[in-house]
Amino acid sequence: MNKKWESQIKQSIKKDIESIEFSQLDQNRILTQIHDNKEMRRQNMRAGKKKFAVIFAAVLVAMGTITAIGAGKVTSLISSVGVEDEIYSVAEFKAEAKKQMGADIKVPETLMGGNTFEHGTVISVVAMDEQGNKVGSYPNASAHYEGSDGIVLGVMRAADRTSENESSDQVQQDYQGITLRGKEDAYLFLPPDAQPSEADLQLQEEGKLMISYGSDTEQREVFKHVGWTDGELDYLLYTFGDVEMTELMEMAKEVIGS
Amino acid sequence: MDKERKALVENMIAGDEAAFDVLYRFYSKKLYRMAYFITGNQSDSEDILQETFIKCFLHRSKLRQPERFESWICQILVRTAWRMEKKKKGKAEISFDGLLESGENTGAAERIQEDTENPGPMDLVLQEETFRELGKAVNHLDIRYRTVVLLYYYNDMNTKEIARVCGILEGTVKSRLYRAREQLKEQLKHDGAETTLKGGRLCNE
Repeated sequence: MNKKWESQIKQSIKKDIESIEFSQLDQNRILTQIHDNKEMRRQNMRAGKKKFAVIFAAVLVAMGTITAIGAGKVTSLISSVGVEDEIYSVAEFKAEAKKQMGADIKVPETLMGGNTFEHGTVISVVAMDEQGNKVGSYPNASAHYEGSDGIVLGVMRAADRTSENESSDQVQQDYQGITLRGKEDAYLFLPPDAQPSEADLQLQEEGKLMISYGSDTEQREVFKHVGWTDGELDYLLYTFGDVEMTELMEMAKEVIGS
Repeated sequence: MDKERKALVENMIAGDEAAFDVLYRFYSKKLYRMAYFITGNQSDSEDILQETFIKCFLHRSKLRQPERFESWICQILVRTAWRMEKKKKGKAEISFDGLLESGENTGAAERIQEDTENPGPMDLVLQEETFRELGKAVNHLDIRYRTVVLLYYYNDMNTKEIARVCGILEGTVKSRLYRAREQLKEQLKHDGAETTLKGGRLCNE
């Protein structure tokens, strides 16, 4: 690549960019909007974090990693994910997952219903004991699909599972020698000071409803998930979206076949 | 990064809103222009700028090395822009009309940079034409290539930094840069005959 050509590209881009106007007035107006929205977002973020923690815990239960809490050894699992952890290409996401998990993961670019890969994260989940000491950690990969269904595909090493999957699955199917296990869990998110109804408390007693406090408004959502083991990896495809279990099962087959 | 700015970033991380405002005033113009270069329109660029600084403040505790502030905020901007672009995809085409118009309305000779040795009036006209064609070609690049080109040529980042900002492998950055250059060369070759003809006409006149 000759220097003149490189210099021409550089100068052309610089010239184009520096011709873009951004007035003092616009600068001030946007700063005011930032301040107006910042506090509101901070409050939403707190509620969102709480909700995310519940969802994440639900995922870990479904994947068979969090049940050790009851056994007394592991009392909490900690992880954090930020915008800087997001990977926007399937190839790079798979490469990062292979680096951290030591195995090739299956992640299709698209899933039925117009769900396309949006971003992936590979994070470390840290297990803590009662005294707050780290007792172990394992990598967890999540592929987020864009579309109205809000589909997420979680992957972890089967060896990191701390218990066998529970047999409370509502749907089971075999595909290419792999057993797909499907389940739907009802969640009720409530503001911190809200009082659940007697009926909801009864459902909670019966294990049919999970109640979580911390959201801005009352929200009822159904957590649908399909889990399976493929080779040395555990997969969990899940959503809070409006997807039928049969569709989720078909998407799981797409992942297996990819 | 100088000591004064590093102190501002440290204060911002500690929650100082006045420090945040000073940083905003320092970086917003550059970041707005970057967003405009990526998206091609004013409204999206304003949204991206706003979202970038909101995320910057809300996630400030994640910035472990204050001296990496510029690279970190560029990372937020690029990923916010990509996410917005992905959401818009299929709904509307990106327009670069504004950018091209403003490029065409700018003056000529005073913008020619120093690495051309004593250019004559004809050289300046041809160079200006090349810049314009290049600008047009860059805007036709895919958003992923355009972002890498922006960070490399405008932000002077190396391929390793770009990989971190974009969340891709360094090898991918290199291949995108290579392909972007090849596409630009192809595009200019395609437009070359016309450019030469224009130059010839000017010369004859």
